[in-house]
Amino acid sequence: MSTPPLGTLELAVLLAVARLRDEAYGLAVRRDLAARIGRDYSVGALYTTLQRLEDKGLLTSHLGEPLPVRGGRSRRHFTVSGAGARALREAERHAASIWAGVSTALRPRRA
Amino acid sequence: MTTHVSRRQPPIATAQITSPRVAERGLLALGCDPAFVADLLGDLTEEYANRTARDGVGPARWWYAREAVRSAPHLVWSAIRHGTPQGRARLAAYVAACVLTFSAAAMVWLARNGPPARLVADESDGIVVNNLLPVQLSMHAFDAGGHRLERTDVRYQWVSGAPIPVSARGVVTCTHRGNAVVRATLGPLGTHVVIHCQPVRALRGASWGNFVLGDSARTLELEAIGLDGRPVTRIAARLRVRDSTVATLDGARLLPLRLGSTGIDVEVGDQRTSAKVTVFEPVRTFEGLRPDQRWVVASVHLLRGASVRWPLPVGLFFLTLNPGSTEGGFATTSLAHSTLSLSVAGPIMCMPALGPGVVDTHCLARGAGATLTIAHPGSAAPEEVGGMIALERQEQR
Repeated sequence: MSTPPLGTLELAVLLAVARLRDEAYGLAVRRDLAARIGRDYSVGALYTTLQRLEDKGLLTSHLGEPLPVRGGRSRRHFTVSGAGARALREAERHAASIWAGVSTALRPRRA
Repeated sequence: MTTHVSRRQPPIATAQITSPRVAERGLLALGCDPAFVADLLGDLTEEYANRTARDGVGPARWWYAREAVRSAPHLVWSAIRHGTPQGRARLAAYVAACVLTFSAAAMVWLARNGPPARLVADESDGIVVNNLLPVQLSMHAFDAGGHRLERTDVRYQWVSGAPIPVSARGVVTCTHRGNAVVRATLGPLGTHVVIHCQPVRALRGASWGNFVLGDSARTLELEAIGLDGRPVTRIAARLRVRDSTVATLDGARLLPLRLGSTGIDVEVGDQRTSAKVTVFEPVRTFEGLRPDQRWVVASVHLLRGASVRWPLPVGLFFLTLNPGSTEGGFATTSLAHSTLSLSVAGPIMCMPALGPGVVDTHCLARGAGATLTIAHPGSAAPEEVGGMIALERQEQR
């Protein structure tokens, strides 16, 4: 089964969730994106993307304990699903294929 | 399954966290997905608490308000996607109310008048007064945004020039020609304005009334006579065309638009006059006119000894001879020296009767067979004589 195509923000969010593992909830994902790509996405934009990824079956979520710091609300923690992992691998392959043949001078340096 | 977060929590600022509860109730009432709202407001609240501890209440509130505004479109989208029909209706009403409120506020803000910033006269170089009777000067006040202000509290004071009586409220009486400088003030604003006193006793010669359809616009020429009997060189005229579908005004130029007849009212100072304007259809002769051809004009050129005879329509009509060349338009500017000779025959009566010096007349043709004969006037006239003959049929009642 082919995975649905990912947008740029979707891919970045999916990778952030994969990177943060057990700590992947909205605010943490937002901070991760801000630190890595320098974009301050609004909370609304981020949750819309997270919800869309969940609707596509690429993420699963569960609620944690209610926290006073959140006004008694729970954090929603996200996990990359099997389909999400396949989508990430496909995105990486896709990126590698479109970078193939490009001069090394033009390639981004790896940290 | 519950996951515990080990990250150190910043100090909790629960005392200040009241607005999210209000926001949550409002968003849920709109029909937003409750889970979406809880997640979003939970993150906002958590970050608000962090920022309150780190930066203080003011910056944290500013951040919260900014994020709430940035997230609003996503919340609306969530409400559209996940809301019930009632929730969507509430959302539509809410959005419409917001748009209306914003539009009304914007209109009020744009339409509001500020304090007066400019005080100007009708013309850049002053005000022309053609009245003999006392008249109120008119200055226009504008605010900085260019809105015209209805201000009646402008004050006036004569400064220099001709000794013209000017009251503090701006009533001026022009009893003779001359220019005076008057200072107009409105609060802190003040400006000098020149009053051109050119009183008009009479208006003469509004004789620009005949056009052939297709003629270009013609400048209206009007002679205004002053108290001393000499022409007034500067007038401020108010012109009005009664039927602007027949002819229209472009400044002081009159442009014919369609066949027909109308009047122009002219007002200069206390004097009024009016003139008739008729737009004629050009025809070769008056033979075979249709009943709907009410305004027609024909050009005639005759050599010495020549004449033509045209049948005339039955009914009441007005005949006008415009002497001279047909070049340069069709204006009966000179009614004096007709050179073509006109005469009628058959069951027709004209008043005044056609003869030397008569250039316009009312005629009644009681039946078929009436004719108009146009002839070269004879040896005293030039070899070739031309002119235009207009026929205007009266409406049959």
